[in-house]
Amino acid sequence: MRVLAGLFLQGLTNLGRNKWAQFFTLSTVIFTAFMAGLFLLVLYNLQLAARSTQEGIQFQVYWDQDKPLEEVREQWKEISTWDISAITTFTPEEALYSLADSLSADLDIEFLTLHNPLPPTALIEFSLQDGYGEDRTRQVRSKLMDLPGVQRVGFNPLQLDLARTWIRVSSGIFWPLIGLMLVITGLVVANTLKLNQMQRREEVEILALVGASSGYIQFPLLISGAVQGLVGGALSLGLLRVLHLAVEDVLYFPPLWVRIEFLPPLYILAVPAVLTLVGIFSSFLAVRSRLR
Amino acid sequence: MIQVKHLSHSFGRHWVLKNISFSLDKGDFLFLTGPSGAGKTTLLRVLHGSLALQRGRVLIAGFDLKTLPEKRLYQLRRQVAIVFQDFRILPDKSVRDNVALPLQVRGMISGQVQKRVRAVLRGLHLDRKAGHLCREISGGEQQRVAVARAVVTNPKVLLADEPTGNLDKKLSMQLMEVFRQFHIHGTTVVLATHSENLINSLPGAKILCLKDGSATESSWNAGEEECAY
Repeated sequence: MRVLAGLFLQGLTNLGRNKWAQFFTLSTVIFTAFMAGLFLLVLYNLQLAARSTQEGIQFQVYWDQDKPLEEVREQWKEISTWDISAITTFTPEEALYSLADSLSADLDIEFLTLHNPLPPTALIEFSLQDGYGEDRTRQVRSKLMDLPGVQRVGFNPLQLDLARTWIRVSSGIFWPLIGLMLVITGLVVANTLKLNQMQRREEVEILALVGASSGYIQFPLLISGAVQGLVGGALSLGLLRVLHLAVEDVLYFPPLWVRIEFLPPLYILAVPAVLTLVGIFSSFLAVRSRLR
Repeated sequence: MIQVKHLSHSFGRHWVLKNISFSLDKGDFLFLTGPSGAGKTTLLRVLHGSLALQRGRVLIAGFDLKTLPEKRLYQLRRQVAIVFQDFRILPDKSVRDNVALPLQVRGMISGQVQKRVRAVLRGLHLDRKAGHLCREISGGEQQRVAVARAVVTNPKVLLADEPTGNLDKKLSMQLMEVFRQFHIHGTTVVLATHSENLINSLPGAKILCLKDGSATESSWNAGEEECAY
């Protein structure tokens, strides 16, 4: 345990040697990770924007006109507990005024209020993102149809096709792009850290010659690599957050109303975690051939 | 302590060692000699495990190099120390730190390390240079640091490749005395050298002469007639 703690400390102290080399290495790691994070941020927000407009399906549900409104409200409550994105409800009166608004502001509909021909309606939106597809559409539709008093459930088949196409396109582009970005970042960071560790090859060879085990030699190097990856990843996220705060409202104006979101927690954790692993792996590779 | 049987080693198609066989007991002293390029350094590196065994069999300090996995090489090196011709010391560390290295990797506590290092440095007349960085001392002193690092652990086998190459006659003889002391106390020493003076300074030692990678029985104790130093 004493030896292990000593080696851990040695790994940290090694970072203080060759200060300029360490500085340039860390800078390269930070800026590479920053560029990768920026790319991820752009991609993530594009995905969010597209998802919010493209991946949803909307059902229009019409109830019987003579169905008591209290019972319909109960059903709306029940529907809102289902796994759906949103529900917008219209009592016959609300539907009438909404219709009037959409036709003309000057339209006088007072005469219709006594004998309103419109039924209670609801617009129900749900996402196809989680791979439900056509089954999910059929399942929700039949569930709605089974509700007592529901007269008709309508939806636009073109919208379903669009949603399916978007999901295919986004899963075909989003993840491969992230994968490519990960590979490029990994290679650049790994190579930078590896080059940095290679300056210690002579020391590694000598340690091996005097009887140090590979664990004794590699552990401090792995610690240095891990710390460089972790610190580089954390600082790059910090820079990215500063940039995000500066530009998050840059697209928040009509008609876009797009607020740029920061990376979700999983991605925030993944960036330093991946870089730490890359640091460990590249340090392992840097001196492996020198251990004999 | 050392048994070498039919050892051959090549770099590409060029065979540097050809069918070498010899054996040494505990406390034996062997001078390894022969012209430059004869394979002396290669033989020492094979014995130390720095070069993988290709053909033949080597038993050294209880380890069979044919079956010793790479991850256990460090155990061999804790019994078999080596002094390289090019010193292989860390120039940016002090003399004291370089000599302490083999003890530190064994997990020895700091107080004991310092005590042992002081004793060895005194024996090699390096005690006044203990705090100096190795890049600041002379070639001869660096040579002695390399020797001090090798002997500080009291190894069972001590391999040395031209350890007096950078030293004057007086220092060479002082260093030879260090090797002789270890030999007397039971360490098996294999010393590669061109120096006739060194070989003559230890009459009871064995001599193995290498020529073009080969060694024959007649080379043993053959002296100058058989070997071109």
